[in-house]
Amino acid sequence: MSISGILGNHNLNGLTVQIVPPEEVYDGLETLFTFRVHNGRRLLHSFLLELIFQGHCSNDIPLLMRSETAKVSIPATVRGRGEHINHVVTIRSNFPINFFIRSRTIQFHQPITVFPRPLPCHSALSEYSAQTGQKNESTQKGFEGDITRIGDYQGGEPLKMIHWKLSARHDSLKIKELSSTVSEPVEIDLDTLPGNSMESQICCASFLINKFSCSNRPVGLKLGKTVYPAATGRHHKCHLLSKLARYGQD
Amino acid sequence: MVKIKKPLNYITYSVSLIGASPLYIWLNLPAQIFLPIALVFGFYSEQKNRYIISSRTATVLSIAFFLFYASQLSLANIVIPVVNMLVLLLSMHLITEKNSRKYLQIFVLSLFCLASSSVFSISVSFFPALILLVFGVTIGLVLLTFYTKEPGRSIPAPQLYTILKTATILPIVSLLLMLLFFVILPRTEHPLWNFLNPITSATSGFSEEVQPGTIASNVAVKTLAFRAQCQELPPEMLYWRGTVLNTLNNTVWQRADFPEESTQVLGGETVRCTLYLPAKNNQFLFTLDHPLSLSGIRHSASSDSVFLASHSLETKTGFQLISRVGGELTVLKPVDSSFYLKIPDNLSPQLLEVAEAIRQNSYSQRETIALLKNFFREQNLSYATDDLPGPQAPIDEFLFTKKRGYCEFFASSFALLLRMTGVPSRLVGGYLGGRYNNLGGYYLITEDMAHVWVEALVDDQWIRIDPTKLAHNSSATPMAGQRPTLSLLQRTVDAIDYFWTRAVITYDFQKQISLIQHTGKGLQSLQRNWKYTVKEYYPILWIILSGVVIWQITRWKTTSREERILKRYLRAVRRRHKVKSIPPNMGLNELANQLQDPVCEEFAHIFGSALYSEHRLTKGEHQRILSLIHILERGKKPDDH
Repeated sequence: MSISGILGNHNLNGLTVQIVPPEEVYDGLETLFTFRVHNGRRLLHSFLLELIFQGHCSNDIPLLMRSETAKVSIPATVRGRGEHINHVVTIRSNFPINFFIRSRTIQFHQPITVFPRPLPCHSALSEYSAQTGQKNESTQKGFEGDITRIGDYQGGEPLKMIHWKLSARHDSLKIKELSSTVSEPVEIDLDTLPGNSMESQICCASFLINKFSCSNRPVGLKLGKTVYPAATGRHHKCHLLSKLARYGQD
Repeated sequence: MVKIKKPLNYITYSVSLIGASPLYIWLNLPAQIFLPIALVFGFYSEQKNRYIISSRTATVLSIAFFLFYASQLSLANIVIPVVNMLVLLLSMHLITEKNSRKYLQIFVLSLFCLASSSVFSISVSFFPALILLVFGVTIGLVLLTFYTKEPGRSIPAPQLYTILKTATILPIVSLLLMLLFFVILPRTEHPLWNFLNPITSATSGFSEEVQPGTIASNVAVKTLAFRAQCQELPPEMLYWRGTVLNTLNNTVWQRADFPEESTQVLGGETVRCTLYLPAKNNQFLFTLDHPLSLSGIRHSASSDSVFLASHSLETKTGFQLISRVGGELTVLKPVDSSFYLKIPDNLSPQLLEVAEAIRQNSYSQRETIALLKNFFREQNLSYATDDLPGPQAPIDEFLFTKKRGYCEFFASSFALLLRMTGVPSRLVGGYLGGRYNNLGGYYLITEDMAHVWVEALVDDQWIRIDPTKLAHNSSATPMAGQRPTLSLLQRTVDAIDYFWTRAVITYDFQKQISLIQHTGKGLQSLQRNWKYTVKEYYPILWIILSGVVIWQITRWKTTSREERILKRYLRAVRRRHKVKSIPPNMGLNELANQLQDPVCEEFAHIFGSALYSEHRLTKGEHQRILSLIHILERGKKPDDH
């Protein structure tokens, strides 16, 4: 029994854990976190490892060879918007004999920005949507507008873009090049949003940023006196949401 | 991919087989039949995933078995019902569908089976069974942990191999610890579970009384009587003394209270022996004739050199003995010789006539003995173990009609005639001879070597006379020392059993005490003779030193230059800045910023840029880094450099 205790204790030694957070983590919404577990020992392997994060347990890692890294995912819910730096992960195992479960708590520092929870505020959405209804065609290539020209297939285009009729007439595959549509930019002013507190306004702003980003509409943000110009794209959305997350906390 | 259940089943069935096998011969018929059936069908069911008996039926049957054997339990009959119950429960578990709890129960029941087999016999086969069971159960428990987590789990074969390899650490270390605990854990002088032992049946061979004529033939049995570790001696010296029969009641020689006598062994060669006796239901401690002293066991000694253990020898026993081989048992004070001259009243006229003739023709006791020996030779008696004289008048029939018999006939008739002719005499029962096992350096004495001889009191000396040697065919008898030698295999098997008995079975509290004493003395002498003995330990020191060097080189080889530099740097930083620990995931730049040390910053810059661009350090970078570490180690400021 004592040997199994020593072996079980050793099973959890020399392990390091690192969080690979998803790009978007929202306050109070369940998100899948990925963890990298590294066995830094030079002699012994680790067996039947389980990670617990925010009260949720991962699937077990049956075998983690020495000097190797494994990945596990845990669905977890983080509470509170803003920067989360200190994290606690419990790593546990019932190896070698299923009489006892040994665990070890690992504390580490890694900044994770938790975005404000997007709370639907339809009145604000309809107000901002009413500001513009028309879509302007841009000169850039897109997937929604009219056919601007016919081009040769380059290999990376989606299959639905292939112009089969024309391709049948030619020796090579031809594709339809469509124009992209760009909507009128919108600037969300936090102070004008509905809500009885700043937190509810922030949640509303988070909802709107997500909504407009999804519809590919350029979105900007005004936080107090600071204005973030409107743009599209995931990176821009994350930028706005992270500013929103830290707002009022600095 | 291998399903984890597959190796678990292999181990489970092997463990059950190993645990229950030593118990098999002691089981009742139902258990003897059911166990192999359960093993075979259970294993087959696991392969096919179809079970003959449902769990519910098995539970009902288990309760029925339990009630049946529980009803047989009594204070006098504990072991047999319990072991049968154990085996039947194990069989039930084997034949039905298993979950993790049942696998665990099978392991426990198998261990109980092997443990309970030791109540019947701790033969040498117990040791390999124990080792295999420790291996099987511990590795099985590790696999069971994986199985419990996910019963349907499949693992790639190389991973399974790695798991098994790591699991092997458990039994290996456990066995080493068991060895240590076996030596040091306190032991009782008497086995605790001895009362559970079934009473050992009496063995033929050595007996506590001699009554010739009671059996028509004497079948020699080659069961072990005892083993004696000593130097090799001439066969004619190997008289193993057990008991002295000093009273003749009609035709039965028995041991009775006798007049106290003071004796001393004079002359002869001193021989030291260690005897290992198997479990017996008597108290006789055999000694090499003539014994001087005995140690290592509680005993009582009689003045006729008979040693009896204080308690019945129900377990294997070992003791030490000092004997004087070829010595004379001299009586220091006059003995009441009339006790050794008592004869029965109803002696036959033929016997009386022979005794009278010898008495008239002899002038001394020695002459009487010589005449009696002549009479035996003239009678042309032959040594035989069949067609023996009957119980009515065994001595007359032996001497005058059938003229055949084994040692009891020769000795009892010779002693009787000695007493009739006025020479005090008694019978000595024991063993003659022994097969020397040069592998183990001991004599093997078996029951077919049981022997009876005569001691006659002549001129204040008890003289040994072996009348069996007067048989005309004495040179062809087993008593002449011409025993068939054992084959190498027989000798090896017996030697293993002997070492097992010596090292394990007879290891008791006294040996622990003597081990501690020897260790203490050894340490004292080591301190005294330190200067002289240290040279003797040079080879061991060299081996240890070489081991350390090889280990260090291996470590050096298995770590990269960068890893070694980083390790040295972090150690130097900890010392210089008195930091207790540096978090493993802390970056070098982060560390340097926190410490606000330009040396660390420079190190982080050079080392980090090499590390993250994945190129080896250049010679210049390497030298600069070493000098930075040197600065940290020496505690100098960078400006000093």
